[in-house]
Amino acid sequence: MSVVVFDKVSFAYEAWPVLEEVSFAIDEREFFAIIGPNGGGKTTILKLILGLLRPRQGTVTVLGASAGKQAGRIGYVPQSARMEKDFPITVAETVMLGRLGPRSFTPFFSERDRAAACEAMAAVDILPLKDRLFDELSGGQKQRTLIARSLVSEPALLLLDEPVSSVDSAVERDIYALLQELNKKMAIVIVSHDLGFVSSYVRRVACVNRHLVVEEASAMTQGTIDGQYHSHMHMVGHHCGL
Amino acid sequence: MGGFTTALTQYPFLQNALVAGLLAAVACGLAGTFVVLRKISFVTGGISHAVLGGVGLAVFLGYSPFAGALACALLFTVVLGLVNKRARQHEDTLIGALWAIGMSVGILFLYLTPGHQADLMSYLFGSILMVPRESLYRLAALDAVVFVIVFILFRQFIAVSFDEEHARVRGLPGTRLYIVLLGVVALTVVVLMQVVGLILVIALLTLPAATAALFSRSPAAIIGWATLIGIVSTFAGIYGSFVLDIPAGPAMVLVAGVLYLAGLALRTFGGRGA
Repeated sequence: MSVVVFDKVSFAYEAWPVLEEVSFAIDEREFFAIIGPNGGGKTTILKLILGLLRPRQGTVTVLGASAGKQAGRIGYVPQSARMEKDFPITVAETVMLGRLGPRSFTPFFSERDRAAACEAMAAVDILPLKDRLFDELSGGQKQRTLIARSLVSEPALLLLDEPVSSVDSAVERDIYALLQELNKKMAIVIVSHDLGFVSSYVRRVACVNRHLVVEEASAMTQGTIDGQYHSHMHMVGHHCGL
Repeated sequence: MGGFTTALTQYPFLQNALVAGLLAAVACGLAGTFVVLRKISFVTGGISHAVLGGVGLAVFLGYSPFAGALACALLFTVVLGLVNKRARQHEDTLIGALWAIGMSVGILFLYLTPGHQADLMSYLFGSILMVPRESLYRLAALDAVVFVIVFILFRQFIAVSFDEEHARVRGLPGTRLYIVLLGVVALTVVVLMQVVGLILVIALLTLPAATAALFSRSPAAIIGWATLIGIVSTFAGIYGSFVLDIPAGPAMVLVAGVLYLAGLALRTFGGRGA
């Protein structure tokens, strides 16, 4: 079963076309990457999946419903560099915000919320940091906190926007190892302009450059991370303008 | 100090002033916290200055200036909220326009209303020592509304202030929450109008919360400390006004400003605290 289906989707920012008749599907438990240069439309695809943008033409189906109708079942990890600086909020409270919904009408989190947050923080190894301020964390710790926030609602689909853009290569490896572990339980879609990462970890890749998906790489199985695969990925990158 | 205490027991206008200061501080703590966290000081300034248009028009037409201020503040709240949703790139320009047009309309209509020219200064700079007892009930009612809204939407306000996109993904109504937050700010502006005047409203809405934010580790702590700093500022301003025979509004704002600068220096050379 597909968790995300794009059917002839077109989108434009006012008169500027970004996507034209894009079609693809992402399967359950798939680790899927969207790559492309800055401004190529990859974040637009993410926002269409999240229901934050609506397509001009075509349909986006997420977890069997129209995009935006399954908010509670999607985990979303934005770029940590986008968070408000100096915001006085602890790691635990940040994670618990992932439990909020439109009917959260009290100023307090419940014991159930706290337990779920502890579980999510433990899953990404940040439980000892729970009382630290989010703003005091390193780039990698912030990214793990945002991943925990996305996991706390037990999503079926996890979306990440440039999750390693502000971390060093050692932390990058840690985060991808964590994502591979999480991929055993849920589908993961990751937006990146880092082709090196894509060639090493994901099963399939969609390449977006300005207004269309130019190519999807073939499905990759364990043991095929070899020279031939890499050359194929570099061909994809070349088409994509990377 | 003894003279002030004695006067406090004798003169109802001083008692009223302290109660008005207390109510203003509570509203400042609640609304100011989210003005600072959401970084909407400019929007707040726009609402507070534009409100004079409603005051002037209400006085000219024979209605209560309080009702005019309230209606105008809420109207601008809705306009700014809708612009934020549909044409965010024009928001700054619109705020600047409402700011100037509101002030001009207010000054013009007060000028055209016989016998009310002198009131202009009290609207602009406040008159806390002349707040009548019946006004205190209105201020208390507005405080109660602000408190209930913040109590109910506290976590949602935090979520959209910290990461609005994620909040929208979680299904929170970002634009509606923004309009409600501006509504809270608008009600607070009306509360503060009588205390420090429309020109200085923005100072009391931002300085106590900004000072508290320097040392706080949670939005709830900011609300608590900002309310306390607001109480200190208003009471010290009233005391200074009584003892030194100076205008109370600017005195309160100066106290709040000095506390903010002292806090900033402490934070710069110290730390955030526990």
